[in-house]
Amino acid sequence: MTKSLLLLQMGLVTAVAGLAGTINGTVRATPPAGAPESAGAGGAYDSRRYKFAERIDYERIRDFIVYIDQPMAAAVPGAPPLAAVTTQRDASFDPHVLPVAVGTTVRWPNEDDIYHNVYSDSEVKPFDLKFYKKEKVPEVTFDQVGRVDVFCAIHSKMHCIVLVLPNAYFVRADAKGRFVIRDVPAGTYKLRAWHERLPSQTREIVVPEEGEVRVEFKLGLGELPKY
Amino acid sequence: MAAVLTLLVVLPAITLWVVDRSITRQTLYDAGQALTTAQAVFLQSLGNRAGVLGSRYRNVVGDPRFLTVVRLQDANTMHAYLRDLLEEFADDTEVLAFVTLDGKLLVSKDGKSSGAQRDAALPVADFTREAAGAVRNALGGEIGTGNLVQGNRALNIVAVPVVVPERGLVGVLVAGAQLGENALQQLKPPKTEIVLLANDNVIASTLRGPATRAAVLRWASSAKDFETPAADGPEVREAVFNGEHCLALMGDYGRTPWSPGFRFVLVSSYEQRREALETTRSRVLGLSLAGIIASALVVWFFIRRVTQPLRELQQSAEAVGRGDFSRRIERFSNDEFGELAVTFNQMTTNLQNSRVELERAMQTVKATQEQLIQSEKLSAVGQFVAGVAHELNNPLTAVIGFSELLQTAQTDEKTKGHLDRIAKSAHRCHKIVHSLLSFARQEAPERKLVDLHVVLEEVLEIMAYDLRTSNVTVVRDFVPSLPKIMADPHHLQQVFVNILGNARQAIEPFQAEGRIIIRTHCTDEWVAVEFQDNGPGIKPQHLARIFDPFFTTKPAGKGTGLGLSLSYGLIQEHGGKITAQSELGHGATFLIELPVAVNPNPALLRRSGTPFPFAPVNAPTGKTVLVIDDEQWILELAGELLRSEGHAVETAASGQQALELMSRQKFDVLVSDWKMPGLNGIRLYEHLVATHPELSGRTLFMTGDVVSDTFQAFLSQHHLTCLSKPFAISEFRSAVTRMVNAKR
Repeated sequence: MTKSLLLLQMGLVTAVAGLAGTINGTVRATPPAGAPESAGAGGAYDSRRYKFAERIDYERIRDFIVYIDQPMAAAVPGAPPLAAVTTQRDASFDPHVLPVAVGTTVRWPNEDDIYHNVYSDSEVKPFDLKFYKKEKVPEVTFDQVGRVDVFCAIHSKMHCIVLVLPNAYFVRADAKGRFVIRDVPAGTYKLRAWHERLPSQTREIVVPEEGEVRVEFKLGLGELPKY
Repeated sequence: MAAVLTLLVVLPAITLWVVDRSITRQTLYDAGQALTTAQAVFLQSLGNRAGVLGSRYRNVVGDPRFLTVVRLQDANTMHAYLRDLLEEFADDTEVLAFVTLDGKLLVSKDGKSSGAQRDAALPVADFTREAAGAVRNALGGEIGTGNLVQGNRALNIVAVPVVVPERGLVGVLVAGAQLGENALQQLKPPKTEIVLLANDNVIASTLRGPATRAAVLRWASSAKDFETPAADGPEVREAVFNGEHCLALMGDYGRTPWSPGFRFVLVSSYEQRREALETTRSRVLGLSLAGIIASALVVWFFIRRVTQPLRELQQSAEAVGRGDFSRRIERFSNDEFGELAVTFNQMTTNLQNSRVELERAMQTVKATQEQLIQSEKLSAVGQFVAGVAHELNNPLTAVIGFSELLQTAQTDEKTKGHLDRIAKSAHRCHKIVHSLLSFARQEAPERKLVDLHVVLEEVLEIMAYDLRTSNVTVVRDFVPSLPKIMADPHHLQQVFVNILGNARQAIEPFQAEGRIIIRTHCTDEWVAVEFQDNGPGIKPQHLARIFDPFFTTKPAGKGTGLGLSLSYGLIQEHGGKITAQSELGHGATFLIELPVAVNPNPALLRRSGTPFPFAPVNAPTGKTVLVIDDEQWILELAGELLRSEGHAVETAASGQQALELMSRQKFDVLVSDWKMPGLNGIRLYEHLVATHPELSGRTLFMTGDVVSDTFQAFLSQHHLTCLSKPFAISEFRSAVTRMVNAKR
């Protein structure tokens, strides 16, 4: 009851229009203190044998996702169903990280001349699309919040992540780490910055009724809380 | 020496050569063995590599993903998968291909085949065709292996059968792994380089330098006889690649009925060994040289040690042979040579001493001989002179006697003067004869202790007038006192007068102011007097002869040539020496040495003085006297004298006649000549002793000879007296008076 009330209230706020702010800021990844700046120098481990422990290139790191980590009335009832695409091209998935609001249907076209077998063993959404080339474009609807890792049964390097989020207030930071989330109803939220290989961070933010709220994220192993 | 040195050089040289050869061979053999081992290792490694490849691709074939792709039978998918696999492996694998049971690749509509290659220059289709043999093997169910050369690549081929569980064998996965330089580096046995050859090209090599590779290639293509592999293992050959000395070995690998395989060359540089060998060789050479030099020095030293002493010994022996005894050999060592040297030196010393003694003896003999000759000369002259003197004495006795007798007679003054002259001349003659007899040493010399200085002073006094008129100064250089000598002072005077007189005569025409230096000196044994004049000196050829009798340089009539000869005899008689030294133009020096008197004992002195002393004349008269002489005028003189004394005188001309007279008549006194023809004095006396013993004590002998030793002894024995002819009348009278008064 409370929940529905809240949703209702938020919907009202949105509906009122004009009473919404903008969240902007940057996300940066910082290497731990003392770590080498460049990822190219592998030091003692720069051999094939230790390639699996790939270093993070903090300069070129991307695919940061910033989102409000709480349920909101994102999916407006009656709106067309949400849709997204992950293409298989050159034996890899594009995009590598696909943030979607819960309930979104994702299409999986194969643009290669070779067979791929897209599947996921994730708890959130397990599926297996079997072998296909271009003769079909299978679709998968993600109806539960969580992270879904998708692979190809043939090509072990093919991997992508479908990040199923609770609402539509999410954004992918650009190449410089800048992000803007517009039209956020005023209120206090938990804003989370996510990266597949770094610990996420959550901030309490207060979105004004009009104007902006600025948030700076610094992700990195060095930014973990100290115990 | 040269032979020994040659031997010293040649022997080590031969040894060195032999050792060097042997070491070189051994080194090469070792290197060859190492290379052969390296080949075995290489081949084994190649086999292992094929095995490893096989294992790896068996795993790949068993991978469910691969099987999934296989099930799809889609060329593109397979191509992509294999391409990914190549990237994933990122190793030597150059080609991967999947072929179906009919041995063919899957091919898609757009021309993609079920294979992937790293290098486009290596077409998968060609590779599959080339690998057909291995594929066939794999289709038989086993892993097929092989080798092939494609382009400039050598590839190890592994063909693995692909079995899908529900369908069974569906195809073959063929992999081609390049036997490239990386692989060779891993396969390479230590210290060995590998060169792979195919189609007359180097397809892979661990050698860095392209020049060396080219050299190996040239060598391999020239060594065609390797085509037929040697029966007894691989053949190792020597070769020089790009200036490096190597051992090389060539072989074929992977020659199977369906693949030609490739040729490999294993190269092992023995440059290091060679350098080590060279170093060793030079060291050994150096050491040997040092050894040769050292041993040569040692040999030289020993030879020197042996030959040098021998040579020295030989030279010394030669020197001794020539008569040079002054050489001595140094004792160079303590061994036999040293002893030899010492012995040799002793021998030389002995020889030298013997020779010195011999020479001394020879000198003595010569001196003795000279003396003997001189004595012989003197004695010959003496005998002659004695004979003459004896003959002269008798007439002189008469001359003296009669002249004295006449003087006593009553004559006028004029006659008296004449008689006096006759008597003086006769006396002079008597003196001459006396000196002649002295020279003949038939006159008994006196011996008494004499001070030489006194004798010299007397002589100088006698000579003073002559010397002064000849303007000759005498310098006395006397020692303070001289020991007494045993001598006859008259004889010494005679000698000194002779020498001084000669000096004066020599100086007079030569020097306006003459000088004679008389020096005396003495030792414990000798007294010496030296007369040095500043006359013209004596010619050397004369110096040797001045003591010879009758040798004179004075003009005829001025000298008899007897003076020095007489002096020589006199001094010799005294046991002394007289020598002369002279340098022509610088005067002459006469040195007289006389022995010092030793323990002078008057008892040993010979009786000196006149045979008998004058007795007081208290003459008894009227005695009968027998006078015996073979000289008529002696008899007459004696008769006259005795008769004038008042005696009765009978005369006999011989001993025989005297005996006859004595048998008839009795005589009181007998006066007899000593030396008579027929019965001489001794025999007459013996008769007297036998027949008229009373008369034997009153016999007076007369003699014209010098009283000889035997005669003297005879006189002493029988207590007889002897009167020397010529005698003065007074002497005769007193002698006769003594006989008359003698005891009966």
